[in-house]
Amino acid sequence: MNIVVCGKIIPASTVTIELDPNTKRMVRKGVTHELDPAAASAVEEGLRLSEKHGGAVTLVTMGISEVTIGIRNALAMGVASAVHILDDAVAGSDTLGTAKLLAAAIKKQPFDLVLCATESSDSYSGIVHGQLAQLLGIPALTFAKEVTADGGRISIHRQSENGYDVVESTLPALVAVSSGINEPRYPQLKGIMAAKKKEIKVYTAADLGLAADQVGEKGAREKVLTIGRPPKREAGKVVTDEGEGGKQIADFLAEIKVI
Amino acid sequence: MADVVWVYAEIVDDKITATTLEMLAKAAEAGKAEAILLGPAPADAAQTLAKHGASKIYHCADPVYREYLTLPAAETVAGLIQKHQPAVLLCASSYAGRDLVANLSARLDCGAISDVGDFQLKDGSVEATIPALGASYQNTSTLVSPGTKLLLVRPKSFEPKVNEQPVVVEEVAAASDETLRKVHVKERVVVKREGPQLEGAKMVVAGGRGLKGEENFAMLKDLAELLGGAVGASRAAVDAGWVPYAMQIGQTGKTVSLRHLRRRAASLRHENLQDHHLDQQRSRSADLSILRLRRRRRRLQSDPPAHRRIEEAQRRVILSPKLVTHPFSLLSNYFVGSDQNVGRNRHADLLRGLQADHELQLYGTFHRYFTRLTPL
Ligand SMILES: Cc1cc2nc3c(=O)[nH]c(=O)nc-3n(C[C@H](O)[C@H](O)[C@H](O)COP(=O)(O)OP(=O)(O)OC[C@H]3O[C@@H](n4cnc5c(N)ncnc54)[C@H](O)[C@@H]3O)c2cc1C
Ligand SMILES: Cc1cc2nc3c(=O)[nH]c(=O)nc-3n(C[C@H](O)[C@H](O)[C@H](O)COP(=O)(O)OP(=O)(O)OC[C@H]3O[C@@H](n4cnc5c(N)ncnc54)[C@H](O)[C@@H]3O)c2cc1C
Repeated sequence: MNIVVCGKIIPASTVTIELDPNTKRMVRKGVTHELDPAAASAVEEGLRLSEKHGGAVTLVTMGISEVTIGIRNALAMGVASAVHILDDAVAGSDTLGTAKLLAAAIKKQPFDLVLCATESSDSYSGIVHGQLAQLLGIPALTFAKEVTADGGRISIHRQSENGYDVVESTLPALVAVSSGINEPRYPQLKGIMAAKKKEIKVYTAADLGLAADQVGEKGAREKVLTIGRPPKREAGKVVTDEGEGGKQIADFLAEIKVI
Repeated sequence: MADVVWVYAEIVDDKITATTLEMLAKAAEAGKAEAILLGPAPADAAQTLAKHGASKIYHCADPVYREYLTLPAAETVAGLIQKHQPAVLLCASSYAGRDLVANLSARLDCGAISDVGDFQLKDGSVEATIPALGASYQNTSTLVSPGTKLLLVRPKSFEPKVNEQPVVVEEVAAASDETLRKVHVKERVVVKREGPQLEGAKMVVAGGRGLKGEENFAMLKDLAELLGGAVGASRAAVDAGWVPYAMQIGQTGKTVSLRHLRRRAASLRHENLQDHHLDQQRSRSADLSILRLRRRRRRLQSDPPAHRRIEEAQRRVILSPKLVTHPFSLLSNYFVGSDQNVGRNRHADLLRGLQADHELQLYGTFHRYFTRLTPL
């Protein structure tokens, strides 16, 4: 089973993400990046499936040159090779533009299963996978908290409002995994050394057959008009316990009439 | 049509979802509200939609929409959009809603805006407000492609309104193409949850990583029971496997809103002022406490069970809880355990104090920071 994992590499969790008032985009250049923890779960799921059913796992990602560190991380975890969409022309892509580029890159190799994360941890639109599946002409099985493959079929436990649904399809298909589906492995020294020799293919939009007006800022359907700070929210009340914390909270709740 | 706003109606647990009705309220305010209702629905579904503002309903009861994910619904909705060209289609940011909008946005090559908290419609173009980066920013976005604009709406963004409309129900043909039956929903497993559910709960007692483990959620259950509320959890606690996903609050979980709580607080102030004619004294804190005492006393007379509940809660509420304002969550008050800085000795002091003051019995210390107390 050949598996492609679409994983985003995002500003590290130690970085406070800022929006650039001019481009109205996240400040990514010059910022430390890491493999999105949500993407790490998709990578882990891919590795587990390939360990069980054979086949190679390929990482496909789109991002600026700062994302290389995250690609190396996925390779060190055990991914066989990586595809990096890197091109100034794709800057400013919205979700659909991103999906078009990812779809074109995925089509360059044979695949049975595409794995995504339910949403990225930095922009969390949660729709790139659904767009991608439609563009690839394969079904999307989303919100997976468990994935099993069996011959040419794939089955997931899909989160639902009151439990989960058992959902099944034939391959090829796309599965988007929920956070917490697994505990991603840490790269071992052997993996880290091996990663250095693994191939990272780099594509531009033109390599993928996409014209400049289909992707990037020009192709974006969504346009950000303004960025701003939300209206201030009433501060929460902090009860500092001096021996009567419990009583104070009960009083507070009584005061606002919840008890 | 420049002012027609469609709402994709969702059914969960054999009921029209709350978010559907919220979106209808906004749709009716922004233009002419119409709804799409696909799949088996309760008998009064169309009536409920009409009552909340839908003047037209595109309807098909075929079970294909329930038994197969996304593709049949996307096919039907795409066909309807092409035929009727509404200005906007609103879908809830739910499991089904997100998948449907993702598919449609690629199919129609029109893009979509996620996580919409509000929007304005003017001459067929939209301006959507999106709380971004954990609500630390509030951005506005538009869609520049011509035609219907697809918006994914956050739950609890609008108040549902009763706004009865004469309604036309138009039956549409079911998506029958075999190739749309690709993703089969084989089984729906309902995970039993104890106690009241988050949906519709008046009060939520939520815990997160600060609770340190599954076992400590029992405390929250006790408290929630006393307060007549439901227990919620942060994603950290859900991801750790301490509690089921159904209890998750927040962006990827259930949306809870402080709105009605605030309103209650406001109406309470109002009520007090009217009842006690204390306007001139209201700014002085001493008077405020008088106000509270009076209210208590009055309540004691008029509502003994409520008073008992307060007393009971005072006794059994977690020792030294801290109300933490969480920057991310939509719920800003988290009840967590005692402060990390409270050492064992301080903890013991607190306990002794509480025991003496409130005649409480130490029930058991199951964590350095948490102690459960029960009345003697
Ligand atoms: C006008 C506009 C301009 C923007 N400009 C930029 C920009 O210059 N640079 C930028 O990075 N973002 C930009 N964005 C944000 C952009 O929407 C997202 O980066 C991108 O489209 C993915 O959205 P998401 O992370 O919300 O995806 P989600 O829908 O939350 O992602 C779901 C899943 O899809 C896959 N996926 C998504 N994106 C990638 C990726 N890049 N590589 C691999 N897999 C992926 C992952 O599996 C992910 O978990 C812009 C947005 C707008 C509206
Ligand atoms: C795309 C995306 C979607 C997300 N969706 C959600 C969502 O729907 N819901 C959600 O909740 N999160 C969501 N998150 C995660 C969110 O960003 C936070 O990581 C999470 O909510 C933190 O949970 P927490 O408050 O329990 O944990 P922490 O941030 O670890 O906070 C624990 C708190 O407890 C305090 N504490 C610890 N021990 C004690 C003690 N003994 N006594 C007193 N206080 C103590 C700490 O000081 C701290 O304030 C999402 C993240 C992403 C990227």
